[in-house]
Amino acid sequence: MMWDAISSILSFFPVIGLAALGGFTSQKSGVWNIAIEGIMTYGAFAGVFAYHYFGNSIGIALLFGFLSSLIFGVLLSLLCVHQGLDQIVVGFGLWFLSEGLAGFLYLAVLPSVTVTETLDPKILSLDPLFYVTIASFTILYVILKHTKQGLAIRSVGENPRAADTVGINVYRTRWICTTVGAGLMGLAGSYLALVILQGFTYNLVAGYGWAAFALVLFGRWTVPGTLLSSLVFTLLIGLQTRLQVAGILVVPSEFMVVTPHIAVVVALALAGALGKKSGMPAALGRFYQKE
Amino acid sequence: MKSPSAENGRTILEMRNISKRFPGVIANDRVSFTLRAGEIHCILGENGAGKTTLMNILFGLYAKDGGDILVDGRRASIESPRDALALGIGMIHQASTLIPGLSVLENIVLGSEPSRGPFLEKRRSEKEVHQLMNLFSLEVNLRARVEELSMGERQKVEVLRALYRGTRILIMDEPTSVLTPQEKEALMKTLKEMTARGDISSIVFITHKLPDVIAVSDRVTILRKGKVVDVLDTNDSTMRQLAHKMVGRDVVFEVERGVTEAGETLLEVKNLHVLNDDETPALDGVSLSVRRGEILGIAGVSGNGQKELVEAIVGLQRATAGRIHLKGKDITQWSPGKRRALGIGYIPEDGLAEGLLPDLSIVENLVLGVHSQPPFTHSWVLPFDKGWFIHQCSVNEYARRLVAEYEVDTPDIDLPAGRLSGGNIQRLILARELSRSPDLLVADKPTSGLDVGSQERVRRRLMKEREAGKAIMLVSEDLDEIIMMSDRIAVMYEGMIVGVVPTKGVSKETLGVMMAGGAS
Repeated sequence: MMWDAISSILSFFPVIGLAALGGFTSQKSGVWNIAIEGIMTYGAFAGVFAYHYFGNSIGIALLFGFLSSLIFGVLLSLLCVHQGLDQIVVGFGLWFLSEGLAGFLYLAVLPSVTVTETLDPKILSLDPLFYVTIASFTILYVILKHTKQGLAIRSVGENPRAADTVGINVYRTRWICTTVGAGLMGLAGSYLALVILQGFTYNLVAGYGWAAFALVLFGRWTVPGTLLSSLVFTLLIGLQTRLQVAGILVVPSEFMVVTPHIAVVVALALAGALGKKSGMPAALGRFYQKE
Repeated sequence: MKSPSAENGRTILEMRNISKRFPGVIANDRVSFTLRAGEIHCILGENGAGKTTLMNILFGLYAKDGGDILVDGRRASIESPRDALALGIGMIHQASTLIPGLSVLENIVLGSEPSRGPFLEKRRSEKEVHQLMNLFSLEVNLRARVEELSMGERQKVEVLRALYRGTRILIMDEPTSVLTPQEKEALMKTLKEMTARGDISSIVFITHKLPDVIAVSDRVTILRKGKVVDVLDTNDSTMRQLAHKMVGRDVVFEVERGVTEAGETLLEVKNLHVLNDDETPALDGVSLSVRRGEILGIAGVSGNGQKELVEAIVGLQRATAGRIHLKGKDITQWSPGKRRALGIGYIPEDGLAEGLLPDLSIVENLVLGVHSQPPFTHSWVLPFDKGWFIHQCSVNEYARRLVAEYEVDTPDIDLPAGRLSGGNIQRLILARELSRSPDLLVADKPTSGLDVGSQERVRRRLMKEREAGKAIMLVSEDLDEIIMMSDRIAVMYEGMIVGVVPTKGVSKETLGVMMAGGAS
């Protein structure tokens, strides 16, 4: 009974965790991706779309959500990593593009779909993607800390010129991180639609993308920090919902809608208050131009 | 490791007729350069003479427009730093290319990490670097993050990194600019020993500092405006001779100091405290005073509180305790604008970043700060308009006069200020600050990064102000400058003033010891 409650709260974790991890991966290499919210919306659409048209398999739908979201990472890399356009401006554009695309295609090609399948096997009544998320955090941690590629990622995020002079391919490293990051954001959206909400509605991401963005900052650009902040956020959101449903916590239901927004503000304020030595990659947001 | 002496003197690197054009300038005009085994070879020249460009070509960072590079007598095609590294050419850049957030070890092995499959072998790399450190008697804490190290230690890490990659020709771009005299001496000693032992075949040492050339090099190639002026044996040359060749005219090293009577105390700082961003003390109880007609030199290694002291005085940093009095008024809580109005002029350390708005025109930069006072404003149509509009004619006239008076070399006063060279930028800031004739001038490293010709002009200007009875606070890391200019010298160390000494009779060594925290 107790575990059921906890596991149902934790089942929301991949939404937050994967999105935050996507933002983290991109930022660690020095590229802001502020389109998390939009890419998640697109990923949600793509997942439900693939579920409907490609044989009602959640596995394939999730995979499609991940893969087709990579395109936004590719776009971001082309424009910002290679062409040097402003990452915030382009990110803004991508946010609108991805969200608009999802909304348009939803109206144009997608009938009302209800997802009836579930993903198996469940371990401790938790979805496999929960474990995939935890594994992704672990793998990324090991990569960053113990591999050549990880060292390359950290150095292009800190000082791309230095990395370049020792023969690290700055563009390729950033390109890969940004693209994989976008894929993870899309996957988070697909999971939200397919597993949590069992269908697509417009605006279903409802601020969780921005929350994920803030959680990377709050996690101080470290893997454990991001993991921890995502977990705590998931638990708080889940707890609030449970208590409300159980009637223990009496707040107007309108309040539910703004919870992620409030959490973002609180997380950012706390991150700011904790001090200025934040661990932010020194070259984050800066275009690297070869001479 | 090769045996030393055997092959010393042989030419190991030759650059023939190297040319490089940038839009609007010829950075290198058929420059030839030869490097012999076993030598430390200085490339001397003013800022913009093409020294760094030449070496960036050698290191594969720039593509050359013409000419050949021969390594060991064979033609080499160097298209990227990778090619250069493969030939045993390593470069230590002026702006450190270490990555502050990574550990010392990670920085040293970055790019050629020992690894098994994709995984780093930390223990093996640690062992290798330790061996290297023992061999060259260089000691650094490998586990520390680079941002925790002093500039001298970072320089060591750079050298170690080059050695780790098997560098035999090491290019160092202005390596001494951030070091204390002691660190500088230690570095030069290390370099000499390394070439003498043959650990490294040869070192190319880029500099615009003449004492460095004399102290460290065997030969020197002098560049001026992209061309080779001369190649000399250092032993046969004097500073004066080198300076003449570098600048193209005689340079006066000593600025004449007139006799002035130190007047009333103008600035009085008492027990000043300022905190860093992370709440640690940046200034820990600083007291000093500056009088009319005197220059107070502030010596110290960069980062010991000079910047905070300067910024607290001009009002850019908040004092957490202590008092600042100017002309007898307590200005501790005043805004920078109010302090300026009372008579403070400020020449910031990095003129381009802090003293100017690079995208605005020279005119706009010059008039900034006085633009809201007559005669630069005029009332226009509206009855309630109290001089909201800037009077363009008088502003232009004013700017033209200042540009001429302060010898700012520009074709057009409407040019964005950021397009000027370093020396001109500094003169522009001097023009703006001095034209308001402030009683106290706070100059933070006003000549750093300038060539000797521009330095001389700035110094003469400051000296003139002193003679006119102004009080001047001069922060500098250049001890020669401090000794040449100051009437008294205050030495800062870790946010405190370790001592104030009269310039007369003080030696560089004494100051060096004080800068390292020793008592006077």
